[in-house]
Amino acid sequence: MHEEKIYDVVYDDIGPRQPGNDIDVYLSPLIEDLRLLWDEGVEVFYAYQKVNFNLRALLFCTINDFPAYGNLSGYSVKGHHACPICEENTSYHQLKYGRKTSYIGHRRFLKRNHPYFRLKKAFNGCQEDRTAPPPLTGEEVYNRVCHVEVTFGKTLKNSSVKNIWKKKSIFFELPYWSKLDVRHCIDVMHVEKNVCDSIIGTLLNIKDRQRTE
Amino acid sequence: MGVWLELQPQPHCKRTYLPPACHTLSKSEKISFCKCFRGVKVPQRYSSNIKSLVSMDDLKLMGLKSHDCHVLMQDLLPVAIRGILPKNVKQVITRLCLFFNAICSKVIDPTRLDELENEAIIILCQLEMYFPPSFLILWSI
Repeated sequence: MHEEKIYDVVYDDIGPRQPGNDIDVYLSPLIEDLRLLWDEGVEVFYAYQKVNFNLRALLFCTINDFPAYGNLSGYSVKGHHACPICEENTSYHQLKYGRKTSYIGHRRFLKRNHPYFRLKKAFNGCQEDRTAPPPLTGEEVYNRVCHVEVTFGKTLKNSSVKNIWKKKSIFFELPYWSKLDVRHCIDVMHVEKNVCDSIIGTLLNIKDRQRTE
Repeated sequence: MGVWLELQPQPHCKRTYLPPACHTLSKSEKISFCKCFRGVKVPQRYSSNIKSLVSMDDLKLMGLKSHDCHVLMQDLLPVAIRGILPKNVKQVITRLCLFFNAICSKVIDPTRLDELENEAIIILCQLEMYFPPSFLILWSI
């Protein structure tokens, strides 16, 4: 009886779970193929003209939802600096009693002469004087992550160094990846569903829907 | 507390009156909102049966799948909020729906993309103006 219980615990522990940050291990065969396609190319038969030609390919961008963005890029997409484009310049406000982090302050992305800049009462009580932060480029991201050391798998993580970039993403092994302007895209489906849920929850005053996940 | 002046509790003789926010619907407005979805008829294979998602007892929409949300955002929501919300809130939600409509369409005009980006920023600012800050948390954007 006692042994069975122990088995249960062990079985629960090794059950299926998503790889999370360790997704790089599973992606490495794909990256290998993509490197081959970029560096040398493969011989492909073109059926219409009946000739062989050298096919090369490039990974243009990845399309995923926001949590997967964190896994693929190695950025920690939660907390105060959740935006991987603005990084440390993300403007946030932590609600005092709900303890949620709300991402406000989108006025700075407007054009400089927009009348919203001068409004006080309608927004947070003061005029906006910040300008939009420059978006992080691929090179800058590469400089930030190139020294991050990470061991994949179940190891004791000693988090002595706190870094918002968790790993050097395996996509950086592609020679062109840091030159790309947009590397990851968020798909519309998830965004649309979440926005719709929160609008309807707010309008109809539904308690559990206001929270959304 | 940092509550807006027009939303602060007002003491009346015995009770305290909490003024409604601009996005709050009264009971009759909620009924009209739900009735609108209740009477929706769509072409075959366009969407699931929207009528079955509405519960008139609790005045709720229940069990929305992502395609139902897509249909609501694209077409039905701007129709359902006609005549029940203040003009500015109505305008924001309609603009948001139009924005989603534009980026979901099969054909996108590349010259309009800059315009769309500016539109998105203005919509976000207006959402900040009219909705509570807890609306703009991570999982709703």
